[in-house]
Amino acid sequence: DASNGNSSCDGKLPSGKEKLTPLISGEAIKDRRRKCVDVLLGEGDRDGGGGNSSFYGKPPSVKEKLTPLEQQIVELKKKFPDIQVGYKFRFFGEDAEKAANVLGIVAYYSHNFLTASVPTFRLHVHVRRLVEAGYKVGVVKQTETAAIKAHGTNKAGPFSRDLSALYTKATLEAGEFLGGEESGERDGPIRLSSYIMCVVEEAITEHKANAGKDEVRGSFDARFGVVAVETSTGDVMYGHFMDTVTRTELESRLLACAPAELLLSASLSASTKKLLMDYAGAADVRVEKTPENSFDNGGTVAALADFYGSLASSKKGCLDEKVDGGLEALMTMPEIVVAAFAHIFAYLKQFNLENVLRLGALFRPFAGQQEMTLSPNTIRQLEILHNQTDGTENGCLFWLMNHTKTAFGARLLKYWVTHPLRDRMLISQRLDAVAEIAESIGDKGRGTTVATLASTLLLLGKLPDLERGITRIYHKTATYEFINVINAIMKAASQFQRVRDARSALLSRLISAVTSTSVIDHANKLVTSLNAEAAAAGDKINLFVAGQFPEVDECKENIKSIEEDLESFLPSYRKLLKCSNLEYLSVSGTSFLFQVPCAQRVPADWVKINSTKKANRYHPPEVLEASERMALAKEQLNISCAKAWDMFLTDFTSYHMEFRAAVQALAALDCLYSLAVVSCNQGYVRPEFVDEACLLKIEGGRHPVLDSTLQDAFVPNDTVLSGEGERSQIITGPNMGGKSCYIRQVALITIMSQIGSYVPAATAKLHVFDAVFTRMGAMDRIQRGSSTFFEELSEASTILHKATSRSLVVIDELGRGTSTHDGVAIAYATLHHLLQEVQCFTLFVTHYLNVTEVVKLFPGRVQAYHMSYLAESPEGDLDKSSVQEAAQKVTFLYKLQPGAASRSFGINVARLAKVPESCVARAAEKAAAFEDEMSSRHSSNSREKQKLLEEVYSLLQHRDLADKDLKSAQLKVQKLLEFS
Amino acid sequence: MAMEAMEDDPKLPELKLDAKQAQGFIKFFRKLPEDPSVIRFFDRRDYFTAHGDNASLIARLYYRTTTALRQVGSGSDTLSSVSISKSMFEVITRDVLLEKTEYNVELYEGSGGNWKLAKSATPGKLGSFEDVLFSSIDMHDTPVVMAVWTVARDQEQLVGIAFTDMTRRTLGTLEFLDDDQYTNLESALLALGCRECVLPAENAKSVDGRRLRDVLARCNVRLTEKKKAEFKSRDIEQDLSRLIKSTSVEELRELVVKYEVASAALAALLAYTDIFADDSNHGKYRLQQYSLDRYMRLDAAALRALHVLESKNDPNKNSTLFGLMNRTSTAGMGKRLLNRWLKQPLLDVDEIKHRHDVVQMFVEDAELRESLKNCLKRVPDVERLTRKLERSRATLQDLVKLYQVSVRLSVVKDALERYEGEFASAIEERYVVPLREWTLAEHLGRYDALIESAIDLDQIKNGEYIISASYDSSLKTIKADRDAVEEEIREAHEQAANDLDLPADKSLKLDKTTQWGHVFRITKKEEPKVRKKLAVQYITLETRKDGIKFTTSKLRRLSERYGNLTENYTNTQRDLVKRLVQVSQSYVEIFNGAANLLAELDVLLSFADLAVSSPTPYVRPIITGQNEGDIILEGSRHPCVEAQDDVNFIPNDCRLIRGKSWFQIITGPNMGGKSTYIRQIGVNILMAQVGCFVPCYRAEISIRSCIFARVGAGDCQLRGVSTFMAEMLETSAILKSATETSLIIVDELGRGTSTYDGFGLAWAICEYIVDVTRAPTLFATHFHELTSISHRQGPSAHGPSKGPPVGISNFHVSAHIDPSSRKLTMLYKVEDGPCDQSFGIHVAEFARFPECVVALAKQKAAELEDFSPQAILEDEGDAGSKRKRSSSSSSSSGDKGWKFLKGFAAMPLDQMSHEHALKKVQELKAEFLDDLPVNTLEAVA
Repeated sequence: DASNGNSSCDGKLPSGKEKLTPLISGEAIKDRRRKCVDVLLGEGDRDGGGGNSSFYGKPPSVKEKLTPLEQQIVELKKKFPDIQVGYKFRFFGEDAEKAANVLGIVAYYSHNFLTASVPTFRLHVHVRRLVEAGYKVGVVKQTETAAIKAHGTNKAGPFSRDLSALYTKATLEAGEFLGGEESGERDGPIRLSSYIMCVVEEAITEHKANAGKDEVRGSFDARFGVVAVETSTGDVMYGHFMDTVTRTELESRLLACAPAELLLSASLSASTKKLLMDYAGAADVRVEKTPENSFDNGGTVAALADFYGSLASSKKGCLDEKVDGGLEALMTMPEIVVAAFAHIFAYLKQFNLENVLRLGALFRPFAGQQEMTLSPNTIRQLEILHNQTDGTENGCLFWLMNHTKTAFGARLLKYWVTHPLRDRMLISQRLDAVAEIAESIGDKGRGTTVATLASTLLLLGKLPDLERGITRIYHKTATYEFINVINAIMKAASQFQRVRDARSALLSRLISAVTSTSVIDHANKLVTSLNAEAAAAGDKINLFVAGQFPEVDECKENIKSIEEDLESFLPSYRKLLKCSNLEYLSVSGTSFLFQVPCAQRVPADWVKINSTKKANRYHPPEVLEASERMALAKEQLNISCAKAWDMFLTDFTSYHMEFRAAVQALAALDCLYSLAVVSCNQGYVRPEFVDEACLLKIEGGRHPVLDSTLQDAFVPNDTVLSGEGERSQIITGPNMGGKSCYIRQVALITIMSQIGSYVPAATAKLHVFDAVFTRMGAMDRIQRGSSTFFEELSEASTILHKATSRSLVVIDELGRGTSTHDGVAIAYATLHHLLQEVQCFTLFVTHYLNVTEVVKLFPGRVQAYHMSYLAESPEGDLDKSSVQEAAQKVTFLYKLQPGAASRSFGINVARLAKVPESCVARAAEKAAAFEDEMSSRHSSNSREKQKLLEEVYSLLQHRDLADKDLKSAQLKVQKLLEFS
Repeated sequence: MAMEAMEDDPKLPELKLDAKQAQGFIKFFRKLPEDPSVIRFFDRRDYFTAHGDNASLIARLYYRTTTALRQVGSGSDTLSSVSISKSMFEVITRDVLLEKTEYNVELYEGSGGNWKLAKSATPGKLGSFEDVLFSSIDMHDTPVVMAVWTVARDQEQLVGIAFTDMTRRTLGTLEFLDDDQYTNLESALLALGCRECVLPAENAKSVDGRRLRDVLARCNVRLTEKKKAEFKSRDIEQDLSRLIKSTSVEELRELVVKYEVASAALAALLAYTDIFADDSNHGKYRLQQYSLDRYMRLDAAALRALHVLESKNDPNKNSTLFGLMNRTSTAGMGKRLLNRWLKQPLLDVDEIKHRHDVVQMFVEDAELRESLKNCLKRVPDVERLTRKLERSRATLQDLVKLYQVSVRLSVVKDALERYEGEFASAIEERYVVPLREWTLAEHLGRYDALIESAIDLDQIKNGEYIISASYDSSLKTIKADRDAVEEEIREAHEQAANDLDLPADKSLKLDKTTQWGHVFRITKKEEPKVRKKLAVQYITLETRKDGIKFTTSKLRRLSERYGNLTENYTNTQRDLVKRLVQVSQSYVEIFNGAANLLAELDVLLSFADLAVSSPTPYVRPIITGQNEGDIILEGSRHPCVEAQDDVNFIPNDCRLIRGKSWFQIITGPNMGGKSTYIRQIGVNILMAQVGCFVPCYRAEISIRSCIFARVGAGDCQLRGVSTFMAEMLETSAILKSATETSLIIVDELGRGTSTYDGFGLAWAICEYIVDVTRAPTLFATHFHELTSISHRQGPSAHGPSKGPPVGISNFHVSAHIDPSSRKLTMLYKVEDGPCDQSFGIHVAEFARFPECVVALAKQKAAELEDFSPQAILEDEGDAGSKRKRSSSSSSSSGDKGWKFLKGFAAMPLDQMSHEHALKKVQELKAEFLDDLPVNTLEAVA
């Protein structure tokens, strides 16, 4: 622990008094000039150094021999070459330089190394900061104490030291306890979860690709196995898939789990690497590469089998299925996933966290069948987890819906929000539970059992992060937080025992999981075997009630006997010093001293330990020897206690799953509570689900986030789509008219409904959607070398491939960013395909009025709408040309109305921005002309017209036309003119 | 320095207050006025603390973990707090004051419940924080505070500004007319490097007030509001004459006071900055001349579009011009000057040529370049040193640094004197003459002599800066005495060693402690051996782990004397240092001159270095005046893009030729290099006018008075119309302020609105620029229809043209579609003519659209292709009134087309002979074809 570590810095602490190293010395005044210039150069390191005042001198030429401590460091660095920052509380060499940069501390030369140090009690803060900065931090501690060293073989050498803990972004929370009160974090941790994700790739050869499904050409070129592990909660996700050159599938996995660290296998292709590295760069993710050639020739399964096999044998006594579950689950997975598992396993082993992989039951695929498909783009564009303005959580759906009381509840809710349900039964179960809680929130204070439900749920807020807690216990990295966690679980259980008669099936099931008697019994058993006071004080020595661990008891006996020995010396010394009340004295860490007035003589073999003005304090040899034995015995006790604790935690493993189930249930209760709070919002209604028919009917629907910020000012809109009737809406209208808001609101209401929440509407009736697809907004990703336009079309393409008749598709302004023709063509063809082939519900926002012509092809199936507005003509100059029309003043009403809008008022904005009047007028004229031209070109008979015209011209090319040719030509031209 | 090294030692305490102290402190803290824009620090001697919201802000932003937070107090009344080490304090204040410009900083000193504001700073007024901020890093840019006062005059605003750079002690005022978007003000804010601006509080709500505030926000300038009453210029004349160095009242009147609006601003500025209140400023300020037409005007959008200055999000240093061009060697000075120059590109041909001359000299003379570079390497920040000197804050170390600079100056002079090339006379006049003057024996020579005699330069190697003992007789005596005492102490040590029979130094150590002065020390092991003697003849002081310290009465006496002498020495020395600093102050002027010269050389060297070290060397541009010559950049590159790793940059030619290709429309697929191309032209011109060579094979540049750039703010649905509105506002400002001598760069105008309106606006704006503004323009667009503007006819919609046609030409970026994979490959080559292909559907195909959708889209696009009658019938001039047009009798080709068709349809074939009919048809056709543009003809054929 900390005090030990501090004393381990037995070298001199940095005095910081290192002076500039002399460079040249000379006497003559003329030489002096040169000399000064040179001194300046040396010093310049400080003046000109890159932004950090780290370096206070030059490294002395390696003249000094390495001190033993320094040698140790060199060896440690050799052993763990990839650990970037090392030796406890002091950093050496390059590490010091890095630490100085990140932590803003000073590094300077001392002996042979650049060094920097941080205070012991701030270690946790500094390690966090280093880890956040993307470093892998190892903490090296002394592995023997003074007492043991003195009795060991290593008397003369320095204290032996070894790496005691390693931290990276993904392993910080689960790792060895760092200190620092987590409870100080009022606003919760910076990240809710930090996954480590391993990606393994395998190229698909041309031959193989064709042999597979005959998908669209130019498609798959690689196969991926992906595993993501959250070490602090024990969550394990895996998946394998084929991907195209654009790596969209991979990206979606990446966005879905938002890893804090990436573990890349050596075999990745260039395009994959680029994607991953770009992602890592942008999202501040730490990247680790697996060692070259590890598991090259199918060694993967063997390595894992070894792991599980050794487990099985070592755990023979209490072998439970969960342990085997890991191996079993793995056996059914494709090899590429197993490879990813193997890499993660090897990586986590360094941190002693590999045991998470044993809990096979917790493995889950990246996307389940029970859940609605939300693509990463959808999550981004609908602002479900982050807003798009500044990337924070403010104003996103999760922000709106998150009223959870606990960190583990918030984690689960985040999952719920990004994975809405797809099963009608499950949804209504959640809704029932939410309704019941909401009711009890409303009934506060009536003292019925129902009221207890809400108030009990409120108490959840007092719980620590149990999910992390039990996982840390499982990793055996927990310290005395153990008792808090177990106590908290027991307390929660006893509180929920008082809640009876929950009507909702889901609620009663969750409550019974929380109050499971076996959990309570086991918890009781664990807690009673510990000494509560000692546990609270962090005292490992007295932690266990006696009799459980003979070794500990033995050590305690031993100490007692030494104490008795020491006591037995006293009478003779009292006699010797003629002092009847002589007692042992402890001063500043040294025990068993005899304090003697300065004047008094003592035997010459007594060692003077310290003194004051009036008295000297001595150790007689006999006492000294005993006190050394005592120190050793205490160390041994410490060690045996640590061992005992380790065994105790190992025993916990067998209960882990049931505790975890109880914690998961608590998390779910917390989420339901949160949903209930949302549902209590004014103007929220319980959505009603229909069975087979496809229907989406929202009356008075509002955008959940804007509704809460704008309050009454928000204008509600109705939406009716049905499988039998109108399946699609084409929405046109001026910018800023609320189109985007409208389509988002429909999508969000659908998603909220399937999360199991009430929704901001007067009524809502819908079928269960299998997915919500969106294509809106645009983000350039120049770093990936693909244009906005390409991104846009890739997303649209994904929708065209994946949407089904039970999906909701929301498309905003497809086809911008290319020439107008192509844009119109693409928008038109896309909508046509969605209507004809996919037959999903579609909300299609466009500025291309020609697209609305598709209405004629699918009568009754699709209708044009616009966001209504009031347009006033300026200065009463009504009628006249389109020029004036375009320059009207516009008031938006934000109400959806049938019919296409006439224009979008961009020119209006130009006028407001005081673009010169002649320019605005000309723009209006030109815009109208362009629009006319576009729509006439696009009229349905234009192709025929064109063909006719071509014929006429080709006819007329010939000088000698037959009479009948001429006549037929004229006929055609007449026909043509009729058209226009 | 020892202090700094110590500070993160285990001693950095957490804030521990007992209940009463905590309560007192909380009470005090709660009484402070709430102001979210202030960060308050509390000095706890060895460290600092911050509290409340400030604490969580700091924990999140700088520690990146809230575990750093602690609660002070107990029960319900607690206050979160965070402790901050000294170096962290530096980091935070630096970030807050120099980067963010969102907060003011206050530092409190005191204890318990009794605290006083000790220091405060705002982004523009660093004041006493300057020492903290720049103790360990270079000053990047000196902050400027500005005050602005406006008076509406007809359609325009009369803007008066007053600005001061308190670090460099300059002051200036200016009055100018501005449009309602304040474009001139914006460029002035940026060119001057303004960090904070004082505005009258009263106009916050008015339209103009809001616009002013928008401008500040755009330029990342902190707003400070003051009452209108402070903008009153009553005693300004007097105040000024006392503040400004050697100027007559008449002169001031001429330069400043007669401008009422600017004087009002100046009054507010002086009141806010308290310059006048500080006596030490009197007579020290210089008037800084600034005029809007001395430098190229650049607004925030242009600076951003051309990536001129550094920002936090830069992926690497080469991604901005500043980062790329900054190869300066001096500490701080060169960097600051480069920063200023980049914001103030020159307009004067001769001045630009001078800079190019010097750069060329360095480029050609590698030896000179290297030797000067070595000279300048790590020249300390003279500006900062002289400022310290002026404020009498300089230490001996600072004086030595200045001495070292003085030594360097001769080396620089010698190096430049040796140069005999083409530009020798100019160099002589501009650099060598002043250098020679300064380094004369009666100028810096004297300073050198002073330092050499006063400071013990031998001790510098030990890191000690002390006055030479020989400099002052009393000092000399004291030193001699002390040396003697030291000798005696040494003897006493030996004596004790003999007495105790412990070898001196090895077992019996002589320590120097703060508590007892010189003492003897032995280890515990040796103690029993000499226990008896110790008890009798020696005085034991302390027994600890590290041994036993003891002394004798003799040693004690000697040690005391030694201490006294040392103190005496220090005191005497302190007085001497004070005097030395005073004397040195008379050299400030010369050092300031030297600082400017060194900085200038540094930047020009840096330019030369860049020009030579680039993979393809840069070239010296040929510069012509604003109204003559063309802009021709052959084989031009974008310097920043080119400098990125793994980029194989394809150079492009750009010829902006008056009357021929002065206005260029660039079309082509996205990501084809349009944006890079148009920006690189702007960057090249900017570099040239800063005085640098340009990344081209050959360059001719007609000086530009300003560069306007309106390049994609992307496409932000969320901000919706506000993005589009911003786009229009920027455009509107360009149309109003741009002239024939500007350069306009426009990328993808009209994306934020409907296609039709966007197209209409793009077209109309092009026409306006061509007809009215007449500025050379690079207009990148995806509206392929816009390319036909090059052969538009008919009178301008914007009134009569002001001169000969400027010349419109079309360019496109090329791309290649691989026939088998359908993959689009960008060639990044800019070629003549409009883009003849559109790639939208190819991209859709490549994005794996289902085949049927692609087919339908192709069909649809074919319908829309320029191959319909309308293409022929379409006229360039007045398509807008096409429907009504059929009855009109305009003579354009389109109407002729209709006429032809109608005439043909109406021919009574039945009543005509075959020959007659044919003849008639030919007639009609001939009439029609006469007027057709060639390309339409081809289409028909």
